[in-house]
Amino acid sequence: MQLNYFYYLLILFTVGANSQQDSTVVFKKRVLETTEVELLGSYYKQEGVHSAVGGGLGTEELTDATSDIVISVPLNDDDVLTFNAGFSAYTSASSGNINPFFTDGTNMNPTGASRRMYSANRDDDDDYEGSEDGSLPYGSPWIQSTGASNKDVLVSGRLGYSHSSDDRNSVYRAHVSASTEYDYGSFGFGVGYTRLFNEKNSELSFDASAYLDKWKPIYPTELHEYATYGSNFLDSGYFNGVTVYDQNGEANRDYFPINFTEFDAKNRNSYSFSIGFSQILTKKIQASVFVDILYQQGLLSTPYHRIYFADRANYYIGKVRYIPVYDSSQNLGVYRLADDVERLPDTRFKLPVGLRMNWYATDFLILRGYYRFYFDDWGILSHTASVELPLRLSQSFTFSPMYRFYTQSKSDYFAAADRHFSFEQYYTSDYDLSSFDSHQLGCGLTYTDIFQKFKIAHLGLKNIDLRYQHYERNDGLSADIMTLALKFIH
Amino acid sequence: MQKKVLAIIASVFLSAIFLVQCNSNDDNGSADPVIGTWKLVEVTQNSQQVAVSSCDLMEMYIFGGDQFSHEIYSSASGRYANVAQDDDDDEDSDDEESDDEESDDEGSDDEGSDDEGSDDGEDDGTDDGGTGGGVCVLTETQIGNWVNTGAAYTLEQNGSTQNLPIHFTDNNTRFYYEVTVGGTTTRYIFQRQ
Repeated sequence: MQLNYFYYLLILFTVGANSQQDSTVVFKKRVLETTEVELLGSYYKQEGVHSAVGGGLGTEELTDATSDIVISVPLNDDDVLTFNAGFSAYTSASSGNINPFFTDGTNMNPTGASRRMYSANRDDDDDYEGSEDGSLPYGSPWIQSTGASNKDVLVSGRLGYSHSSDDRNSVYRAHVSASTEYDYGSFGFGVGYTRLFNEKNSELSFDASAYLDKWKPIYPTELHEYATYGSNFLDSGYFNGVTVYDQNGEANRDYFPINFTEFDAKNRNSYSFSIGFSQILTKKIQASVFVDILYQQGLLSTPYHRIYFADRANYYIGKVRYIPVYDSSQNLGVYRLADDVERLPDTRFKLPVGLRMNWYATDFLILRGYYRFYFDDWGILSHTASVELPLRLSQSFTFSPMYRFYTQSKSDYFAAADRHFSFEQYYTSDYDLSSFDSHQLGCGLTYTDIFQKFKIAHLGLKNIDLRYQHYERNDGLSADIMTLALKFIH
Repeated sequence: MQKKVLAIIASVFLSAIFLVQCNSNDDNGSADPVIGTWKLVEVTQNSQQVAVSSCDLMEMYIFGGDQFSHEIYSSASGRYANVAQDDDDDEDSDDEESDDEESDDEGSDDEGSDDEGSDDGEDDGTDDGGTGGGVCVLTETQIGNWVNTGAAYTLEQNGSTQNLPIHFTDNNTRFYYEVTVGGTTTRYIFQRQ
């Protein structure tokens, strides 16, 4: 009896000891086997006819080239450090019209406005075509000004860290990020937690982040001159010697943008909290739902988006012959002076709710569906639906056509050019806040070499992903984007 | 099963392409054919083509949705005087003729025949007749409102109204209007830019 009792205790102790030692001796797969390096590049080109810089009128032509590098380094079995750096260089016709006066871009006065262009061989007014009406500078919302604001470079960096528990059922995340461009700086940070359960068939995620941004506001030149020189601005600075015209092409000195004041607060802070739940439903179907709660506070308007009021007369600089066709691309040389810039509330609450479903239909075909409903307190409701069909063509190649549909209602504060009134508190003519439908069609081709036969300095090429997408909006905006991603493994 | 899946895929994407085409931004109906930018390209009198100076050929109409602009140019040392309605100005042209004699430019080729021809409204017009002075100067800019009454276009500017009986030709890429004075019908032909 005593011996049996002793053996029982011995077995109990052994089992107990093993159960405590299991977490240290049981094999666990590394979260990331080896260092991964991903190079991404993209080229984006856009066209449109509702430039927000032009108060809802004018070219939206824009090109953007980006380049990013993402390096993921396993620190140990459980921890991964991810470093992301990139830049984006864009050229924007509409941004160039922040200063709408046609210039060669080489003469800048202290206010930042460009000086008028003079013909190099100009002897007298009669030799210069633009001078017959006494007005030298001319621009058009349909033509890109060559001012410095027509191009910029955005530089960004992000550092992320993740830690997985021994049983791989918990993942902890944190990140910090920063970006800067000429008129905008951003600093962000966040944390996240993911819990897997139900034998890893279920996954629950929480993420929280904050972005503390700051504007360095640039205003439309005519308004900046008004703010700088006050009531004498038509005889000072950039306007000195420039004729202002009314709607009938008559010289007029009544232009006085009394509504305009510069923004005092220049910060823009964004906070978000996300919850996601993912569930493997069957052997072939996986579904997930997510909810994001976002709150923004601060300067949420864009300081160089013009506004034209319906209850204010129109004033122009440039070639009066184009006044009748101001709204069309036939306007080659007259610019309407702004009444104000867009004014939007200093808070915004957003709530997107979404659903994803992946159906592994066959060995060679996956169907990925996505739907999102969005609501915010600026009056915008939207629906997004997309489908992607990765089709495995062979062991190495996968072809992925995709389609996305989007529709939104307009913000309470949106109206087209010349539709707002000066007594309103908030107003914008930014067509991103208008009602529209959009379609996006694209495809991608992925090449995977699991043996990484191609190597560059100990880095084996694992993936090449090439994608093209065409985007079309029913307000005239269209865009094309090409992206290329290369993933290397050490 | 595989054929069914591929059929579903094909139908989804064909539908998507169809939707993209359907919902793309369509043009707003048919705009009035006069809307656009027009430049003077030809002048005839009693169906005979007359030479037009390069300054005269800078005459331009720009029609917007409801406003129009009209610009007329002339030579800095001449005038836009190749139609009968400028008879009153022809006396002054004698003075300018003398100015041409004194100038060193090649407008001296014009000092005899061309200006006298323009006095009678019969400028046989060398091509450089209007640029004898060297440059073209904007002499008149009108901006006003227009209305298509069906029979003609009515142009209103500074309280005055002008009826312009515009006729479109060449698939609306050209228009002309005619002015008849004293038995002479002058047709001004404009080309869409």
